[in-house]
This record gives sequence, structure tokens and C-alpha cells, in this order.
Amino acid sequence: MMEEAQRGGYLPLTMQSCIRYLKDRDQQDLAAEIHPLGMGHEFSEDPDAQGRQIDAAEFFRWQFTEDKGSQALDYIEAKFSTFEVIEHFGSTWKLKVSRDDYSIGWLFGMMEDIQAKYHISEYSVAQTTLEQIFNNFALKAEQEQGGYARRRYSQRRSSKKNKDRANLIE
Amino acid sequence: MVNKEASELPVRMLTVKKDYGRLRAVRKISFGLEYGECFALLGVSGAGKTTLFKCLTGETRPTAGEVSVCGSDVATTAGWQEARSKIGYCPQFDAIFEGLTVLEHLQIYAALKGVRSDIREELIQKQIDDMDLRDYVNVRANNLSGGNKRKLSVSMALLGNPPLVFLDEPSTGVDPQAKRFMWNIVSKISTQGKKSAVIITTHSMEEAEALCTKMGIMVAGEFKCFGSSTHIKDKYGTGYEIEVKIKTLGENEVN
Repeated sequence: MMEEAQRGGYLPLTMQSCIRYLKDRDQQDLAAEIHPLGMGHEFSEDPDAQGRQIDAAEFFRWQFTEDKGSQALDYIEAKFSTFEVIEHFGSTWKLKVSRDDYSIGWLFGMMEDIQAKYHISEYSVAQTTLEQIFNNFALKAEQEQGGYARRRYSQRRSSKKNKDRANLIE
Repeated sequence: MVNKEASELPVRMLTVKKDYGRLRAVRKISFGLEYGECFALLGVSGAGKTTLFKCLTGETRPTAGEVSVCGSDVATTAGWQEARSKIGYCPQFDAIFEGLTVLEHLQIYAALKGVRSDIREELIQKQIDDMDLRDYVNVRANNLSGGNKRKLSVSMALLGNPPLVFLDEPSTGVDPQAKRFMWNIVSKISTQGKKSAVIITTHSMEEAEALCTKMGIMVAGEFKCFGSSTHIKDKYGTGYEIEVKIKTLGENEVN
């Protein structure tokens, strides 16, 4: 990737070239996250430090993880009637999906099937526990009182979903 | 169950409201419990659990609504006096006398609760064995560990077999083994004995699931759900949770 970036004239990396790199690969969603409050905030620069160089290896790692994760998520999302990202940090995603008619065994099978394709290093599948139900209520209460961070992420995810739908219609 | 006569139920709350100034701590809560039930009150801090507890024990008067405990209305002074004799209460913070030993505590409480003097000693000894406090009988309360203090508080609440037991976070600070021990005792007096109703508050779902026949999740002064754990799981837990971790690229793979 690095060599390819070298040839493409993106190196040395700055915030602008990161964004250009992502946009050229049709990863607008990721490019939009390079923002002081976005998932890629470590690659955004504050106005005082214009032209700061970005560690290219870090950037490509992030891009790889987010890209593969997003593909895996899209795959899983298509299988279930409801789908929700509970949490995402670093390279981990926590998802909540509907039961539909799937057994837990089927879910393990599905994960095994896609493990290699999306470079999944670890996964777990579990039935919702009381703890999660409780946390869900607590989270809702927190949001009503103006919980900021998680709401922002779920909004992003749902706006992405809507955008995907719009693209499909086109 | 709320429609049953108040005298038939150990606990009955009807549209209870409690305001603190402009803050509505408890909004319109109604529920009833029967003997032999164990009810877990769950909720994040500030959800109104303690306020609800205080309404039940008569510590505060609700702004509106009825609360009756074993058939007496706790809002009236006479009713409260009546109800108090039927309640065993383990407060969230151990209410113990530092200079007294475990045995002395139990003796005092047995006397206060009016346990007949001829069976008092026998009951106390049984309580000590039940709670696994045998090794600490003559230890002063200020020298007890946090977990043993908690056990002592629970013993004090259970002494004399009150028909209604309130346990406010009984297992906080108690080690896992002792916790299970405590669960056994609580379920023995409620679900198995069918003679008492138990209300506990807890932050531990594990505890609520292990002990309780019913639970209610409180959010912002209201019950968001109420029922057995299977009922709540069926209703709100329709699905699976998946955790996915994507491989991080190694040094060579980046190039």
C-alpha cells in the first residue's frame, strides 16, 4: 500500500493527501471521518499545525481496519432484519442483530465463513443477556439527558445506511 | 395484582409519586408483591430506587398515591407503626455499632424486634451459622471486613423472620463465595419458604437473575419493564450480540 501511495503521489502524507487517497478509492465515508471529532481524528490536524506529516503506516492500518470492518458490517447487516452498532473502538465492533429465525449455531457458521474474507481475527456471538437489556435502558436514559459521543456514532451509521439506500435507488 | 385487596399483599403501591421540589424522583409507580416473591429493583444511580425504597419503609411520604405494607397504610402514623414491626431492613450503608461484637448486635436486634426470650438464643445461633459468621462471633464490628459487615447487616434484617425484607445492595463488597451463600439464604426465606416477600436493590444482573422471581428496571423514576427475567429477556432481548475484531496489519503487510 505504501508503495502504491508513493507512486500515486500521496506521500509524504498530510491530512489533505489522506482525504484525497480515500476519496480516490471511493471511501468517502472514511474521508469524512478525518475530522477533529470523527473516528479518524488522529489524522486530522488542528489549524495551527498545517502540513503536519502523518505516520503513513498508522494511516494505512486504520484505513485497512475500517475498510474491512465496514465490509464485514455490510455483509452482516444484509442478513438480519434489524442491525445496530452498539460500540466501535479501535479494531473492535459490537453489534446487535435481530434473532430472526437463525440459531446460534448458524451464526457461528456465518462468522466462520466470512472470517478469512474480512480478516477477522476474533469474534464472539452471544444471546442478549439481561445485562445488555439493562445497559440499553441506561444508555437510553443517558441519551435523553444528552449523551453525546455514542449518539453521534449511531447517527453516522444510520446516515450512512440512508446514503447507501439512496445510492441503490439511483 | 394491584387490584387485589391491600390486606392480601405484603406490598402494594398504587400510582405513587414523589417530587423533590421540581425534580420528579418517582412518577406514578404501581406494583404488588405476594408472599414468596423476591423482587429486584434495578436502575442506574439517580433512577429513583432509593426514593421508592424510602416510600416503602415510611422514611418519606409520597407526594401522591398509596403505599401499603402488610395491609397497613404507611402514610399514617398508626399504619407506619404497624408496618414497621413487619419489616426487616438492611440499609445500603451498614448501620452497626463499632464497639459491639457480632453476637451482641444480634442479641440487641433480637430484643428490639421482640423475639421471645426463650427462643432468642437458639435463633441467634442459627442465624450465625446460616450467615457463616461463626468465626467472628466475638469480633467487634469495627474490626470486621467490609463483606462481613454486610453479612452482619443482612443477618440483622433477617432475624425474627419478618414477613417483608428490604435489602439495599446486600452483596456490595461481599466476596463471590459469601455472595452465593447469601443468595441461598435469601431464596430460602422467600421463594422456598413462601412466608416472606423480599425486595432488593442491586446493580448486579447476575444477582437479580439468580435470586428474584420478578424484577423491575427503573429509569428516570418510572418502571421501564417489570416481570420475570425470562419475560424481560423475551420482550426486550430479541436477538444476538456479535463482536468482531479485525486483524491489525503487521509491519510488513503495510508495505
